[in-house]
Amino acid sequence: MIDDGYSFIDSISVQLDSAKKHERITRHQQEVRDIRSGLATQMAKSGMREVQQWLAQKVETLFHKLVDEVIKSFAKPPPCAYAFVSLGDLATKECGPSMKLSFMVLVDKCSHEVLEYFRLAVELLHLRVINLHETECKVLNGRSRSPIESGLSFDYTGEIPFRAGRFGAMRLVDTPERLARLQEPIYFDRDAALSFTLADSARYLYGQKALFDAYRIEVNKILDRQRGTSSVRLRQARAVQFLRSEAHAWRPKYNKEPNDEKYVCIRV
Amino acid sequence: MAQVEELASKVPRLLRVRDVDGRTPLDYAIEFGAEDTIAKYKEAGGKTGAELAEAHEHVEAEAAKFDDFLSLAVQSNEEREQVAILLKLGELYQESDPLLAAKLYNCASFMAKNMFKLPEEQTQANGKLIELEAHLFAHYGIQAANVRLCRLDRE
Repeated sequence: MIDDGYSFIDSISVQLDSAKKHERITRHQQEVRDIRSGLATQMAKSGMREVQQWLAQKVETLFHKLVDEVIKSFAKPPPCAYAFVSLGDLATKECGPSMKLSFMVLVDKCSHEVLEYFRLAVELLHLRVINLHETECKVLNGRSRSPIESGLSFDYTGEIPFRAGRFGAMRLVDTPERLARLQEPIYFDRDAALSFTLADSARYLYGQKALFDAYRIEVNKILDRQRGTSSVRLRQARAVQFLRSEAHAWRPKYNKEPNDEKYVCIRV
Repeated sequence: MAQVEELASKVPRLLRVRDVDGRTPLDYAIEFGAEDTIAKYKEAGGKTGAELAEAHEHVEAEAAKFDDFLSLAVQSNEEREQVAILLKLGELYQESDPLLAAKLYNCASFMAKNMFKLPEEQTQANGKLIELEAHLFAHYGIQAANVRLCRLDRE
């Protein structure tokens, strides 16, 4: 029961706007097709960096529109202040033609009600992205080829709220203070890639910008902290650690018989 | 038939999908020599714990055979059949995984529209996609906008 004397389950059967919803799905599919056709034109006349930025701008506009529609599809406004933050390629404006979406949601208070609201919002958003006809579906666990080629879709290997990750489910719907805590060494040691993305590749997308500003302040507070008696800041130590690991991963390998092994150790 | 009904009461999903001839996965399980599976399940009927779990695993293995059957059907040359199977698969997963169901309906819609030109099936797939949104709202017990509420008849 959602209101006294009313049943929500009964009420969904009398939705009157299905034609409007279908029209909206078709319109968004057309927008994606327009982006794809525009991409070919852009590639012919601009450099790669400009093309990436143009593409990121277009995808961000569409994503913004989808989020807006999802929030407006609820009868009641969200139970607290919130901000959608894009992550990864979209945030750094380095979008490729596959256009994968990753994001997180900042909220000003975290309760069961808030989490349920945003869990549904993320699922509705996911549904709308799937409806763009660019999310591949590995029919029967990949034993049959997907009829739809992969394109603009959620990044199933990246950062999406409530996705099951390597270290359990990533909620990514939380207060700025608690999401900033993912920069602490204890979390960085577990999943450095996630910490890096959340620190460097996050950009405000939708909602209350003040929450994103608060998040940036919290992140900077942690990264600018000095480690013990050393004058080295956490972000500097982290950068050196990253360079070391990369240098090790890409170290040249010289062998007596060059054809036996690869010259460079490639990470897979 | 009694065996099928008994199994269906334990694992309802096995009877929710039918192929174009109206046969269920259990029909296939029986045809391809799954009597042992059914006997084990009958033995375990009404019990709980490890025995039931074991029997359940056997039935799941039979369901996997059904997946193989569907895999073949998806590769069928019959266009209408391919779309129909994707729609049926979507129905199968609608309760447990609505987003997977959405992907399947989208595949059906995409194939009906762009590959096979089957407007009737496309309309059907689109209708199911629109229903999914209402299904998600109902699942979370949160009210959607633009929904007219009906007063319940109270006795």
